[in-house]
Amino acid sequence: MTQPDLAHLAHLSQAMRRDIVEMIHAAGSGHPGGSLSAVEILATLYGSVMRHDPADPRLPDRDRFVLSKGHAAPVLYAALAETGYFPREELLTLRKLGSRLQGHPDMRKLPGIEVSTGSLGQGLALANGMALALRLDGTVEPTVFCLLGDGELQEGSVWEAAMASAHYGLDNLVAIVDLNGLQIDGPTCEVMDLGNVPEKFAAFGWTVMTCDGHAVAELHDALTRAKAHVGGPIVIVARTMKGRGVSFMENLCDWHGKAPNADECARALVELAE
Amino acid sequence: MADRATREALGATLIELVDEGRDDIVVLDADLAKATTTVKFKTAHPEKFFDFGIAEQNMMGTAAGLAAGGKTPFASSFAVFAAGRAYDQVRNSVCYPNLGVKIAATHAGVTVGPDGGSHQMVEDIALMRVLPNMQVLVPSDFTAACAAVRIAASAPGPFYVRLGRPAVPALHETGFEFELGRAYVLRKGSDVTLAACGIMVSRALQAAELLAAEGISAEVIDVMLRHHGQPRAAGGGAPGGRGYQCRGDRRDVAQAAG
Repeated sequence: MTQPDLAHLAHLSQAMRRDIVEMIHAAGSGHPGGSLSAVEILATLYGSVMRHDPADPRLPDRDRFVLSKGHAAPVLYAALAETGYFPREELLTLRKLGSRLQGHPDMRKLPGIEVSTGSLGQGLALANGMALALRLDGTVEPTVFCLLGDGELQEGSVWEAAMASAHYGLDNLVAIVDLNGLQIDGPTCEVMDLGNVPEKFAAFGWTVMTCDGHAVAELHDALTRAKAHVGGPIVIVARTMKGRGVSFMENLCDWHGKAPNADECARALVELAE
Repeated sequence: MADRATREALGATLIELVDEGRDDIVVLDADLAKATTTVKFKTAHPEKFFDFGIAEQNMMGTAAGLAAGGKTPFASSFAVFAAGRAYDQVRNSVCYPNLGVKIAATHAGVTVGPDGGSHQMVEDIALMRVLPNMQVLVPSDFTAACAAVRIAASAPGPFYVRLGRPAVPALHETGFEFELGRAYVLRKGSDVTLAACGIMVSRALQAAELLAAEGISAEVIDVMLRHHGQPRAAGGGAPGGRGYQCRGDRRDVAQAAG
């Protein structure tokens, strides 16, 4: 295993956080909480683990990423911009009429988006299909990474897909759960208790890993091992904090889908300064 | 020609297409492969067939992923599940991103018969034809159904091919070549035009006979290939006639045409 540049991943994460706060402020709406909780996951994927080429988004043997929790589009746009898919300035067009940066990811608009998502519970099935297509082509190298929210696991279709991933032995598939514990109406355990998420996936026939979803060294190790895993699907249940990195957003449901105003944006950027 | 069910065209035509070299075609079903006839494809090409069990939403989402990965997936189930149960997947994972998923929906409308109202999907045409990028094909006989499967396999983007359960009369010559977006005049007439699709085409022809007995000359048009916009009928439209539209689920009196 190559050693990751942890300092680079930490630097990338902080830059992505600033992007997220700035673009959602400029948009006047959007989802900062669940974008900030997934920053290190995407930074580690796009900054180190995934094989991809911003100059050639359709590189045949690229790894694929599916943002099943599509409302966290800002974290994906930040990862794409920071790794060179498009200029950072375009981030400020988020959610604007005519922008390539739609409120939820649109594969027909923005290069680097593999599939359109937004209606929760559909991403894992899409990832299954992409993994099956790669297998049919005899392409063994690329991995399909699929990021799910924990609230999203309340959708029954997730478990239909989880059953199929195991049934078809999709070891070119890695699922990651952003387990931040909050959803719009409150803590997931109060809104609709998910129970033991790792045990649920294990019962569905998956290999399960858990890690701190904000520790880039742990994430890098888990994602690298998951990518190399053979014999069936593997899931990384990453413990995270909603709104992570902006003190007044951390662990608060209210910041699920609210844009920071000018003052809040400025305070957040001070906290997130280099 | 013997009466045949339009659903019988599905498995048989998909086998032909793969045998002709369409290596991109894969077939998905949701525990109804015997009824939809995709089981024939499973037997012929097991490596290209995927059963998803009783989980139509997942089947449709996976089909979208396969299409994103360059495959041409045919996702098959009864119409009530394909268009109803999986509607959100069809809307958001298939049509919104314009992915080439071909939905082959059998036992459509009242053709599911004694299974009863729970399974009689009469609103699927209405649901599917308003979706962006979706093209809806409603073949009237076995020959037209074979053509519909071939058209869906060859044209880009999402398709909904509506197939029936019972055997229906043959209305088109075997091997007749159909064109996407085209309607076909099956009987000439000068007083009134009956435009129908699916199983109602043969009924419209029967109605034309009854009308003829009363001295009314009825033209019958098979508008089997419905898609965005109006189908073009070759030489169709009775001059000065009134239009009647017949569909498997209901019968509308269309506005006076001409």
